[in-house]
Amino acid sequence: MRPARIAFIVLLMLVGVPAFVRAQSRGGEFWMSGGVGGGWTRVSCAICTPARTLGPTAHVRVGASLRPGMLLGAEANGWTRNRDEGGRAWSGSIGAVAFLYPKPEGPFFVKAGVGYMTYRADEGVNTGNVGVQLGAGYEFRVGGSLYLTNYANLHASSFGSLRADGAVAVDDVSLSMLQIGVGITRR
Amino acid sequence: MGVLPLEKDPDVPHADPPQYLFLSPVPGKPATLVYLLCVGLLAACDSGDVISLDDARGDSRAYNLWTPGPTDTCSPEIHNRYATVGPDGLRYPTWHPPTDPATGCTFGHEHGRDPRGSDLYQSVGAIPFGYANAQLEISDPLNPRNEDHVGHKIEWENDIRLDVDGGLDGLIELTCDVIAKLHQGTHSKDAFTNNVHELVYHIRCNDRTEMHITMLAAIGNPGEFLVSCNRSRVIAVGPATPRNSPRGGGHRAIPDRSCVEQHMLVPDGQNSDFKAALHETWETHNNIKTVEGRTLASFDPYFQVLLPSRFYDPALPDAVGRPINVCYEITATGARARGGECAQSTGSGSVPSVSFDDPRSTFNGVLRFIDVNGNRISNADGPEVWYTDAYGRNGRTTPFPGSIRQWISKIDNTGRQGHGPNIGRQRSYGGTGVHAPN
Repeated sequence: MRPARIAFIVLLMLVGVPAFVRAQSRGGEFWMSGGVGGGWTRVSCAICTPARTLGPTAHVRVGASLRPGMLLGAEANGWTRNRDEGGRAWSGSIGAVAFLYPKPEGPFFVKAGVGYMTYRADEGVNTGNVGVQLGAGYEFRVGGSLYLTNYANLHASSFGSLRADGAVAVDDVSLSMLQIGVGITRR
Repeated sequence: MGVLPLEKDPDVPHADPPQYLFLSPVPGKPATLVYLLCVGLLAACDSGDVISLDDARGDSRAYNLWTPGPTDTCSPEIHNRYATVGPDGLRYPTWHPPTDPATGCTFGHEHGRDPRGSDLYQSVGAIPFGYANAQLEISDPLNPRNEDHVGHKIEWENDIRLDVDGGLDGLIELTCDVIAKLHQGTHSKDAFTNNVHELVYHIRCNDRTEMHITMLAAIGNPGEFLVSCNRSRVIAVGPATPRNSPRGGGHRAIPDRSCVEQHMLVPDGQNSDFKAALHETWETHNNIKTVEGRTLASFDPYFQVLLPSRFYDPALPDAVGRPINVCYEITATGARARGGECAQSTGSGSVPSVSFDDPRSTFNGVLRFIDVNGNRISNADGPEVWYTDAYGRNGRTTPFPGSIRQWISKIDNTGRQGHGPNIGRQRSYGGTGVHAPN
């Protein structure tokens, strides 16, 4: 997916989602979050190596509350590490997310989302496709409107193609990324 | 007991089970036929696809070529039992061990690794030596290419792992089974001029890369070769056979007298480097092309021989120099061959006049290996079965006189390339009685 299209989707979510939310009754409170952690990324296919490679991850999120206990927003995640074969690999996702707090004032939440996942490595290797994510977390209020957020997310996409130097190397490629981390949320 | 696997139909290379025809090799006793029937969830084993040696419609030119030398104890009749029926219904020689296990007699030559251990053998069967040469004679009878028997060499390996190119390394794993048979005669002057040699190549990989190719490979330019110890030197020797031999990719790098003088004849205090002197490599680059010229598949194995029994020396008859003779040379400056294979062959000089065809000479071509290298297929639209001329050209989907049936999987793997390792380096195919010519 071209960078311009990705930027358009992000802009749409940054503007459109809060606007939609504020249009609803009893919602519209702005929130934002950022955090770091660790995780792995795996490229899967019929001839792919089974390795899950660990590396640092990060996320940023913005959005608005739909109602107490439910948040909508846009999120970007990233992962990277040095490859044993040389060079560096990156993966990431960008998309829309929804948070549900079973008890609106409680610390526990679950999360779901949809977006675009991508993987890149040096020497022109890349894959990407639309994917989904599921996650959960636990928050502690640390003062005022700030929360310390612990989370775990799993992102997955399928039916992509692994490309090398512009040519399709392998079809039917799946991409998965697991994140475990901590962040600061303002809401 | 001589096992004579029947010719396999490569239409469904994965599915068909083997059918073996066992013949008693003991002279005078009647042949005993035992058929191993198809089992399980398999395609129908059409008995019409299987032809026994007795039902073959005749002998190929390659059949009956071999005659025993002075030190060989097997008869031609015993040798002829190691045969298979080619796609044309003719009998062809095939792989046999250097010693007949039933009688203990020796053939004096070997054909490399027993192909029955290959995971591909169930689908490809016995390799008919000389089949591509026979097809050339049909399509171009005025320009035949007939090769001797002893030069056919088989090598194979299961589950080789390819080194993946570029950024895909570490992301994907490519593993393959491969069998290769090349007529690589390193005992005579043939390869000094003749660049066309029969090549049979079977490979099957986990990414659906698969091809089964029989062809005459044009290796480098006809009439000339590169000096193995100095690849910048080209030696033009003379016209090739056949006269219209095509130019091919790759090259034949063959040792000449300069290599022997540089690495084998050394001053006192030094040991000869026999492999540096004599290491011979035939680096092939092969294409299977359609009649329109589109490349369906290409592959480029390199075939290496460490201790051939001859080198190029234009000062000698037929330009054939013998490394074993160099073992007995002393130059005007006192340089001579020292240690290693010369010491081994001559009993450290105690055995005079070991000839090139003496089994005691270690310069006999039994140390060989193959660099598998790359395998590219651009056949996404198929079909899998193509018919080409003997040189792998003019491919079309229907047979024609002198055509050879090739099988190429219906994929395009050009976006992912891997290079195979060398296979066979740790093996020696020497055996009791093996000697040059081999």
